[in-house]
Amino acid sequence: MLIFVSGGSGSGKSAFAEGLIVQSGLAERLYIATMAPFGAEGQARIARHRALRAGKGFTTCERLRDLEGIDVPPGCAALLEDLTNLFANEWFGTEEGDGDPDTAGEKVLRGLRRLREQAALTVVVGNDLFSDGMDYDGETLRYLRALAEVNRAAAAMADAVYEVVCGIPVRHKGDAQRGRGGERL
Amino acid sequence: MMLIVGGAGQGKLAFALRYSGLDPAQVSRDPRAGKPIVAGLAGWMRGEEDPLPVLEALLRERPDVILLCDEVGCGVVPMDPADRAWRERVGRACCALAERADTVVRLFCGLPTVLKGAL
Repeated sequence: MLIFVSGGSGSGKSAFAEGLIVQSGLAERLYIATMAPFGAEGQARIARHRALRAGKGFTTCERLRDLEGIDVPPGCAALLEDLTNLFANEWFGTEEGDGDPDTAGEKVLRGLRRLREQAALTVVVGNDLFSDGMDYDGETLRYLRALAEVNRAAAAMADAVYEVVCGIPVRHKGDAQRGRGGERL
Repeated sequence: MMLIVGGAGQGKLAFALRYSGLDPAQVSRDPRAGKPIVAGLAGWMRGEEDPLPVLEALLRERPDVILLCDEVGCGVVPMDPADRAWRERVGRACCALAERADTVVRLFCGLPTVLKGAL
């Protein structure tokens, strides 16, 4: 089961995504963090997310790149936060190495497929970055289009897709409460 | 309280006036003015480090107020840290208001979708 959760900045996506993991009843909960902790603002953001997750039984693992090489406990509930950071790291690179815009999208999607094969429930958080016009330079536009394509592919792959607006989930596809065969989870 | 959100120019104010039957003179862009419709909350929050106490006072004074706020989080992360902080503030305030609201409506191309409660 793969659930894709997207929405704007500050929309309450993370809290909703964490809730899906907790409600699944799956005991083993893995949080896959993708953000390189740059600067005070990045640290503050990470601290906020940690506080939000506290007491919900998550084990945290950092995976800035190469999701397709990950091994997670079979049958666990995995929360990947988030698709945008993972894609940016594959596109622009990290301290560990250069990125590659030509392969970034495919690498991320292969990683999602691998995660879905191993985990009983995978919840992926994405971002809506596409609603403030496309008045950007050519390189940024190329990046945005490629990221939007990854988001569409993730939604196509997902059993359920939610957009969170002001903390309220708007369902666009499927139902988080039902498995692929329609059984209650 | 009714919260109406949506992108810029999507018809939030036209919907609020149509729905409430109030006239534009009843609309303020300042929550401290105590009008029945408060529009432009996102813009107002530019100058408010901590907007929630003011909004809570407004809700106590006018439990049936209609609040309008632009959705500003659905774009590229701004270059300016102050813009990023403002965007975060607006998003969190909208989450808090939506939790308190009886009704939450989102306008898209002039079309309302009820996210919470009923019209």
